[in-house]
Amino acid sequence: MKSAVDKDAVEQIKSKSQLRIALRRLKGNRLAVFGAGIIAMIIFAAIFAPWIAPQHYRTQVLRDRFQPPSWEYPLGTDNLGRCLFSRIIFGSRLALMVGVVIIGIQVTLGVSLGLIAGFYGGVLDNLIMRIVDIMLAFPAIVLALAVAAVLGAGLFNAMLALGVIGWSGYARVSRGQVLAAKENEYIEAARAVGASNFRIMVRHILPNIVAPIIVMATLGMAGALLAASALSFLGLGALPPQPCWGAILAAGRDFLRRAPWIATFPGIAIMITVLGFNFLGDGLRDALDPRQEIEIK
Amino acid sequence: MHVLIAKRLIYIIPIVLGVTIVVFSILHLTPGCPTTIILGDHATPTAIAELRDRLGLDDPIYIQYFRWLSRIIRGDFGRSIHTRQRVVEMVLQRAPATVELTLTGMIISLLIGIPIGIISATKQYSIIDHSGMVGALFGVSMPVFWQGLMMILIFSFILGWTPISGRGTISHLILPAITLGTSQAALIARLTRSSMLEVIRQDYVRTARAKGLMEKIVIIKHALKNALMPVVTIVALQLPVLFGGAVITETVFAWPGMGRLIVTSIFVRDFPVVQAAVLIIAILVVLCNLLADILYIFLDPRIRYA
Repeated sequence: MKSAVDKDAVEQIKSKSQLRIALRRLKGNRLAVFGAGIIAMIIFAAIFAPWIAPQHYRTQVLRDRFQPPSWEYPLGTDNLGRCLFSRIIFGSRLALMVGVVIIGIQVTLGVSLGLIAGFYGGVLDNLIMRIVDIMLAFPAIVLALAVAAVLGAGLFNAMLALGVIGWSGYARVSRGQVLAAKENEYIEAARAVGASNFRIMVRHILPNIVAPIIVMATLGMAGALLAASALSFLGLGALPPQPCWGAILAAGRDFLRRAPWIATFPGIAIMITVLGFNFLGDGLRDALDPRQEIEIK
Repeated sequence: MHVLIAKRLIYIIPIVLGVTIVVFSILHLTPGCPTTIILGDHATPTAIAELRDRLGLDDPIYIQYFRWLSRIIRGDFGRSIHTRQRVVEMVLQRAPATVELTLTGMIISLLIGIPIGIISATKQYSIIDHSGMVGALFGVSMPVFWQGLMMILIFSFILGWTPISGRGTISHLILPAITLGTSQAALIARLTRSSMLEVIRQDYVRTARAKGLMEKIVIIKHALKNALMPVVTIVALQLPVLFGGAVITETVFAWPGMGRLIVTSIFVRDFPVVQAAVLIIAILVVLCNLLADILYIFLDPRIRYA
């Protein structure tokens, strides 16, 4: 009897766990599910690119230059006779990698500095937050352009430039979250049992501030993809023959009148991917917002 | 209130100084020697020695910074490596075009974004609301450069209504300004909607309705005024994004502004010009943020009398 009661209690607690509530809300949000579907599709395309794409992204068939979309070439061909569909499918690998690397750098830098600023406070907090203010004064793409120009053109340098520049938002948000989290009793309890500052920050505070960071990172993926494509479009990102969507689009610019599909389809690929992350990010934000629960009640 | 404004003015001094340090560091603290970055890998030893001497690269880095800072405070950004023209002249020649494009883009974004936000909020969960917000997400997700090219394709190549590129008349301005304004419009629509939703649930709005005022008056006179306050801040905070967008838009439409100057200077490795343009854009952003803060003090009596 007792164990049955305990089991019920456990089930009740389980069913009300924050994660489950958030997941339930997320599943109920059609746009978020749609967004997740788009991202799943892009990931699928990235993993199975060699099997999905009819040709390799570097294969040139010069007699088939500037072919409009057809059964043979679903999205047409470019000025070198390369299949655009294949290039866009292979390009999904670069798009995801670029997004993950940029956001990885931004989150690592921003959250670490935000944790330190919020946890220690005082001079350190002031210093870090003033650096954040300074970084926020720069249009990210302008500063990234300048940094990428100094580092030299290339996808790696573009990712590095965008990663190192865009961390300030994460620092600001995580600092705010740390300020609230560190007042909780479980932090006091951790201190009482002799946990070190590093352990308190990483094991006790970080897991409790992760929700807004996940939302920000998801929406940030959209921004990172747009920024990286913009750098490639301007000639400071991926180098030929890499099938980066921004670079394919830039190449299509010169043939806009003759072969508009070259510039059109990579742009649609970027937009759909960014839209997917925006839909999912928006859904996650709503799902992880405690105020939503009050509204539901 | 004056104290508050004075505090804000003092606050921007370290920010501007920090901005100058970042801009200075771009060229001097990144891997590789500035002479190689400027002259390329195949420069002759004489050219390298001459440039090192001219830039004072043998001095300690802080001396170099203070010398550079004292020069730029006097408005001396040096000469372009490429054209030998004074950098400040080059940038100032291009600045009006960028300001024109950015301001027009901003006005377009407000003209589109605010009405969509209001309608979406007042008709919450309706088809209008859903389509408005999904449309806004599409707007945010569109790459500026792609949108620009598609507009050229449709309105210049297919319909022949507008010129493809350049600056001069309204018809030159319309496509780049719409391109620049669209993503901002989407953001402003989303913000206006959420801000309006918060305001129209307030007691004073209910009171206004209870007095028997027309819904239009309740929304425009009572709700909108308060709902637009966060929009003012976000408009200022979005200026960096808008300037960033201008760099790309100017490149797509060959608009002769500072953004295009930065891009063309990067490709000829004209770093004094890049530094000056980035610095001026960043300082413009800091000043716009200051203006937003001051505007907020005027708009919100709670801050004024706190």
